[in-house]
Amino acid sequence: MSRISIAVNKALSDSPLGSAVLKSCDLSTNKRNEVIAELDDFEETRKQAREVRQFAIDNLESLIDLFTKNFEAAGGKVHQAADERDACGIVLELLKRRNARKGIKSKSMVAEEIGLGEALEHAGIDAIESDLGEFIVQLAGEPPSHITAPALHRSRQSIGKLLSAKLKFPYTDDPAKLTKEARGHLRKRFLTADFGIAGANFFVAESGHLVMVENEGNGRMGFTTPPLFISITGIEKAVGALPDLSPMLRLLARSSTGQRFTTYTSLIRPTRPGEDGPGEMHVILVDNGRREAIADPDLREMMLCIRCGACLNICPVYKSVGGHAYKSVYPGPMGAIWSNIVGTPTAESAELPDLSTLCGACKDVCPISIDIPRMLLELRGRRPKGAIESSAAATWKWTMSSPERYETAGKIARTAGMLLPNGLPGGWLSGGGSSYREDAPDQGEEPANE
Amino acid sequence: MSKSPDELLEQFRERQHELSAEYIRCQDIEDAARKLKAILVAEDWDTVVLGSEVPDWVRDSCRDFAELLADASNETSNEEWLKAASYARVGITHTEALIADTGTLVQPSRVRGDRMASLIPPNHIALIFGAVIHETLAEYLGDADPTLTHQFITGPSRTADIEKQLVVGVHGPVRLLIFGPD
Ligand code: SF4
Repeated sequence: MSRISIAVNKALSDSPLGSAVLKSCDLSTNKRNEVIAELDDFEETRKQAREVRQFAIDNLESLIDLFTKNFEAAGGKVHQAADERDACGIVLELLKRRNARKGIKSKSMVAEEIGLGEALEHAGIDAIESDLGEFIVQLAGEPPSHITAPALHRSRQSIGKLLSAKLKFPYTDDPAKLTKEARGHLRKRFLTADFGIAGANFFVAESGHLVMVENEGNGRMGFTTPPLFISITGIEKAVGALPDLSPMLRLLARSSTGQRFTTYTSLIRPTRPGEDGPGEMHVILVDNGRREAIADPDLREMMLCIRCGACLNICPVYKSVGGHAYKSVYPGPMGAIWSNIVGTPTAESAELPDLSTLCGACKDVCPISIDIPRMLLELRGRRPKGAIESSAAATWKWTMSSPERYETAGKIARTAGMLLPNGLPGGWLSGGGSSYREDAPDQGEEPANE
Repeated sequence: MSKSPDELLEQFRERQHELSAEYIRCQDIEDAARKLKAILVAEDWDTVVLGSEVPDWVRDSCRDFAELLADASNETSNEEWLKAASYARVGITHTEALIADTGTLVQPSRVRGDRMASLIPPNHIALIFGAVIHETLAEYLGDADPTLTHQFITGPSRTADIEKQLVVGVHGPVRLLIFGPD
């Protein structure tokens, strides 16, 4: 069995994990549905959002140039990183130049992608995660399990045990008390940090703004209190001009956390003389496989993704196995594709497209209407025929192991209009199917690995 | 049909309740000054920092009850500001614009203190008298000053990172009070 299969099987037999993830995801999806239903122009906004993203990807190099020109004219510095090593190298060099040893990190998927945490640790630099969920998983020595809710897999009792032991306070599992303890601990760091590092949701070419969307205030702290601020993001996060942010921000929070707007949305420019904020500001734009994906007509569409996480929350497979089973920084439907785009794709990432029932719920929920099932099939088709079937088999076992799940998956598939006559969505077990309906197993077929 | 300014203000006010922010209705500036004093005393907020463009009636209201640790209208070093903001019980700031449909305060950063005053103290009072009210973000972005850092604030800081349970008050303020017209 591959590591993915082992992880999937383990996740399936660990029912508290399954139910914690399921509950959280369903909550997010329900909240998302409520606030999306309020928008009478939802489809129109979605169309605009997709156009904004499409324009950015179609004109990426000139938007990057324009952003660089504007951000640097305002006193900041833009760096381009070809890959993970390059990106970490730039960060370490910037820190070394200022002799910065103590920092504070805000949530950044790209930082996870490039392995920045380990690189900093290795260099003896102390960078604490400040997003509460990231802080929890950092203390636990685990990777995040969701792109917007890193500690989703943990119960509050387990978080209570962890935080009370590490931060030395009497055990509680009350989220408000736990948050307060973490706040106090991290506050000291914010006030004395040599540097702040964060991700960015977008960068605006015409105005030279970085856009950061968050709820806790740690992102704002990062570009307010330390003298040095480094933002790391993917090259694809461009938008043309400030008004282009409107459809993006209208849909991002709604799709992600079911909020109309996140608590803090910041449009950040390099600090002007006489303002508070870091005297030195850098942006690192990371390629790490993105340009190659843009040049690939079948995967280019994935570059439109705004990492809202809605496709994770709705995915029947993600909800059952949780994020860690994907063994990748990017889990869920978007992650199954993204993991094959960025960094060096591995035999394991090649298996990820199998962790899908191809029910199409991800595409329906996506604020950019990204055709995820099409790309999952494309990636399955790129593998040598019959190469890997183990994780697909695990998926199969998962669905069949519970009548309720079988029923749910069936319902979702029926809604998506892609059910086979025998009651099963097609393609579940395919090692390389080319349409949703190919390679469908008989209902009684045994999973390949058993 | 687009909404009238009164309807937009009403929508903005409704949102504050949903966001766990507190909207303090004020008849006029005297009423606002009275209410500000009352809150400073009742909550024992005895140390204050002020962002830029905060009107003088706020300074006058604070004078007898609280110590003014930093004021963005005066020249103060970054280090002093940081010390003041981390010690202060409350930060009071001016708001340039409102976005009604999301309940958002728009506070661009202009001078030293404008980022810290609304972020670092545990309590934030936002004054919205004279703020331009927009229905949507799109309207604001249409003529936002491209040279400034813009901070959009929608409620007090929050997290749902532990079992999706909402907790208000993380790294930013725990309480957000909005002083505005009745
Ligand atoms: S693929 Fe769509 S739904 Fe999934 S994270 Fe990206 S934008 Fe969100």
